[in-house]
Amino acid sequence: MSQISMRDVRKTYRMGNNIITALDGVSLQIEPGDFAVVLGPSGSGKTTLLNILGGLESADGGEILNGDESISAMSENKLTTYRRHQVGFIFQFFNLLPTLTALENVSLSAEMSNRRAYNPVDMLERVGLGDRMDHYPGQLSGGQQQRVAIARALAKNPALILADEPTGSMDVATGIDVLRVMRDLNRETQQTFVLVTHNSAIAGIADRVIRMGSGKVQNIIQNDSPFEPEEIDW
Amino acid sequence: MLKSLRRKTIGDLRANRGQFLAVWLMVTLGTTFFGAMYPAAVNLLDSVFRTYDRLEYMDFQVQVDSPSEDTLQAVRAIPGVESAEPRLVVESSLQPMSVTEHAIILRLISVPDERESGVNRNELIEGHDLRNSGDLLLLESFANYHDLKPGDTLRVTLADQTTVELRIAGLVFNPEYLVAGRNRLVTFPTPSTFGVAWMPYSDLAELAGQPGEYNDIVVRLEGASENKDAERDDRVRLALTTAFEDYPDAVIYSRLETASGGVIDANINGNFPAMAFFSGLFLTGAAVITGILLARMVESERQRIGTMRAMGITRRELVTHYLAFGFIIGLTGGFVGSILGYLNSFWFMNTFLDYIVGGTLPGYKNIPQIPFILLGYGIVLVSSTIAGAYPAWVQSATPPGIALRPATPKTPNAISRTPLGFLPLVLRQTIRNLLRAPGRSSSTALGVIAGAMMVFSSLALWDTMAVCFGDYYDASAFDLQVTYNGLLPADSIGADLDQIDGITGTQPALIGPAALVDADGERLDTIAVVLSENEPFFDLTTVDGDDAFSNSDGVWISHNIQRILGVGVGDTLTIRALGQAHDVTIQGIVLYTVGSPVFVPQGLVMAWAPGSTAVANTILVRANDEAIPAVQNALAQMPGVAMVENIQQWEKDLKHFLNYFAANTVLFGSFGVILTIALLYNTVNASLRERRDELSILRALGSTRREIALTVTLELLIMVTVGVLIGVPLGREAGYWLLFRYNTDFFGYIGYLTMPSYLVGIAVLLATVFLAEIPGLRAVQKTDLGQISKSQSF
Ligand SMILES: Nc1ncnc2c1ncn2[C@@H]1O[C@H](COP(=O)(O)OP(=O)(O)O)[C@@H](O)[C@H]1O
Ligand SMILES: [Mg+2]
Repeated sequence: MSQISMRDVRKTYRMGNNIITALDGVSLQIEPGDFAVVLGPSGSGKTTLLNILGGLESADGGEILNGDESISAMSENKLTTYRRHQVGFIFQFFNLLPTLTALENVSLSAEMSNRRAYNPVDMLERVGLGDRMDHYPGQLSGGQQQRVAIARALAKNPALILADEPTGSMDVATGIDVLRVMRDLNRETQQTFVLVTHNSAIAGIADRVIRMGSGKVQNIIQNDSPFEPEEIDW
Repeated sequence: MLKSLRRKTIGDLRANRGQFLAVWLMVTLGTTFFGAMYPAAVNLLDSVFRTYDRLEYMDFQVQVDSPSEDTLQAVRAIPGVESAEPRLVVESSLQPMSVTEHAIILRLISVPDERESGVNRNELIEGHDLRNSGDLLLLESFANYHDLKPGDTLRVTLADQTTVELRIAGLVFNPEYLVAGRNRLVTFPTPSTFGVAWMPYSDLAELAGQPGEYNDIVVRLEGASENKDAERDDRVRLALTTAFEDYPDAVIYSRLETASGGVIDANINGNFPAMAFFSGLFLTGAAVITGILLARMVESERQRIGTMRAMGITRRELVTHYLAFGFIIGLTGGFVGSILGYLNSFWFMNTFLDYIVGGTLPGYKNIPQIPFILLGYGIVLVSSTIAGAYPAWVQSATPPGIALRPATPKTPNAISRTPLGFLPLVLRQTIRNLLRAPGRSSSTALGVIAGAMMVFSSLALWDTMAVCFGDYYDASAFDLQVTYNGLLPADSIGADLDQIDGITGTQPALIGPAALVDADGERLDTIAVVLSENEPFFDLTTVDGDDAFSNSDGVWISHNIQRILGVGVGDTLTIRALGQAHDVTIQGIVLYTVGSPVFVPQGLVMAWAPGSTAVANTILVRANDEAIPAVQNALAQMPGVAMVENIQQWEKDLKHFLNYFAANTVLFGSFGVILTIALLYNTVNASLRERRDELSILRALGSTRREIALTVTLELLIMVTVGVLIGVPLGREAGYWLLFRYNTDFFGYIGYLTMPSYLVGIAVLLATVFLAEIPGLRAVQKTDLGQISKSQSF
């Protein structure tokens, strides 16, 4: 378990003649075992931040440290290993492999990890999909696909879990169940969670809330007595 | 079409221009070959027939000594006979010219003194007609080879050893020597050792000391060559047999049984299927590529199609949109290909003129085969349009709600859920992928099958020709073949050759016409070779790889006899030659590609007439390489020698002739390989393109490049294996089948595909496939992983 810190991270995109600044000098710190929520309106740079943390994109400037390893300095091969063994990524749009069943999607990631992975069947049951394991993504609803994506990220038991709008496609009850699973795992294993959302209600369950706007961190609030998922007012 | 969709068509064309260019090139190439090859074969046949008819090419030839005027009248009276010309045909020896070091056989043929011949007319190509005594007309292809011109003088020695000087009045084409083969044993042109010239009858008869004599009759039937009537030919043949009943030595040949007529017929029979096959193959190859690529493209647009359908765009509008791609490709590619095809057909026709005819073909015309070209254009246009429209039609049938979701594998559960837990992850992944994307897997396999067929049919053509001819060249384990006038005792023939320096060995042989009759009474007129079974100078190997002449209990037949008469080892044949008939047992089948000789051990002949002396008419001579030309000249001066053949020279001539086939084979082969590469490359590329998202997700989840490359490679390897297992035997058999079309009474192939070719062919396929995966894998490596988490339609 290690501390994650970002210092003055910038990211811009060039679209023809326009330069879009997605991250404009972001600095933050997440402690090991934290359950952090990144909160902000659409377009504020949350996904970009998560991608950079997860080794999917590189920053244009600044420094990103995971413990004393610098993610920004990693080679492509190092980044692959980092993604494979250290990070569980839950994509906003699920990105399941369409030719694999729910169970196979989860098993695949469990098998890729060299950590002690969770049993994929258990993990699917924990997210409430015990009866959908043999379905292909095309045969699942959006919320169900999202839960498979969550099970996939959690099953490999990584040190850091990055979740991009993980409850975006779910109804309230399912969303609460899923948050419950994450929070429990966080407590059981001391895995670090960074959860991105535009829904401020969810922020209530976090140990730390990072509020973003226009590519900048507006404030970071330490929350010593977070709500349980069931207590939040969606 | 909706305006916005039309804009999408153009945008898509621009975005996928690499792919489109690839498909376009395939379509163009396919149309080019379609429009070049078969039409060239049609035009060649027409040109040959036109030439035949214009110059009254013979339908029958009768070799007969001193036919009477009555017999000649009887021949002319046979129904269907248009004209019959008696001739004198004399073999002479052309003395060494400045351009050659050795003697050449010059066949002198008489033409009527005061009028044009009614059969086998000459067409003057250069110079002027026969005017003065001592003039002759020389075969153009022979003259070209030796660089002889009208006005040059030739020194010709006749059988009685008198030598005369004759002047070349003109160079001519003659249909009888369209392929200037000497006889049924040497059916291809050997201009280095054999030429033909024509002289007025009275001049030739006087020169040969045979005034008033004829030894050959050529017969032309009524009607054009293209309307051959086999039944009438049979009737005429029967009537001819009756007419020459009183001439026991008369031999009747139909057009197809003569050297040139037979070779041309074999070419036509062989060329048509070959040209049609390759025409069709290239067009099919192009259609397959177009189909695969457009289908893959539409497949990858699945979600977009779903979205458009959800927005209310009709199926028809969608189909029109995708159909436009195929149509544009077919319209432009087919047009360009049709024009290039016609231009290309000249190349095919010219190789025929250069290597087979060796000069001018008077009836030559390359007429654009408009209906055929339009057929090719039509096929291309329709098939590429369908290739675009059909997958879109199928795809758009999926309800938009389903299309917008991730695609679910269409394979039945029983297959796609085969338990694979025992396999390592990578392999399990690979097999699942193959099973669960049946469209993609089968198109890749189809691509490999088509590619393997093209590569291996070419390799089979190549190997069969190489092995059959290589063996044929190797069979002559001597350097010079000396033919004497008449039969001589085998133990005295060539006793005087010892005086010639450079000779390292000699062996007498008896080589001459013989008829073989099988148990069913089927008869084949061919050549028999009688040779000592002790270290024979013919190095013959049976098709099973054994040595021939291992005993003297029977005969060895060439594989062509086996095929023609349908006989095998152990069967009995009756062999008729020199007025005798003997029953013989077949001891073995030898690979002997050109001609259909029967090889008879000397010991067997001796057993027929115990106590008699063996006779021979030929000596096979081995000589030191550097002494060969001198030995050849010395041999030609020996008394009684009719001709001396130089085996190396003869091999060179044959190779020149075979260049025609070699050129075509190389062309088919190389375009087959290009098409294969294009086909495989595009198929693999399209399949990887389709999987880009999936592979990128794996990258994002932490799969290493190696793992991804490994899965993809394994997948392709499996597909290549499937393709090779199916495509290789199909291609090989297709190649054999094509070459067997050339088989005739005096020419035939046995199919071969050698181990190195298998290895090279498979290596080419593998290399192509693996090269083709590189850009796809690169694209995956280069994918902006950030996009995976940001865009829905990723
Ligand atoms: N690859 C990209 N190219 C151009 N602009 C981008 C790209 N990725 C993100 N952006 C822009 O950067 C900003 C932040 O995007 P993102 O991180 O996805 O926001 P969020 O997840 O908070 O909604 C947005 O304005 C978006 O349009
Ligand atoms: Mg986002």
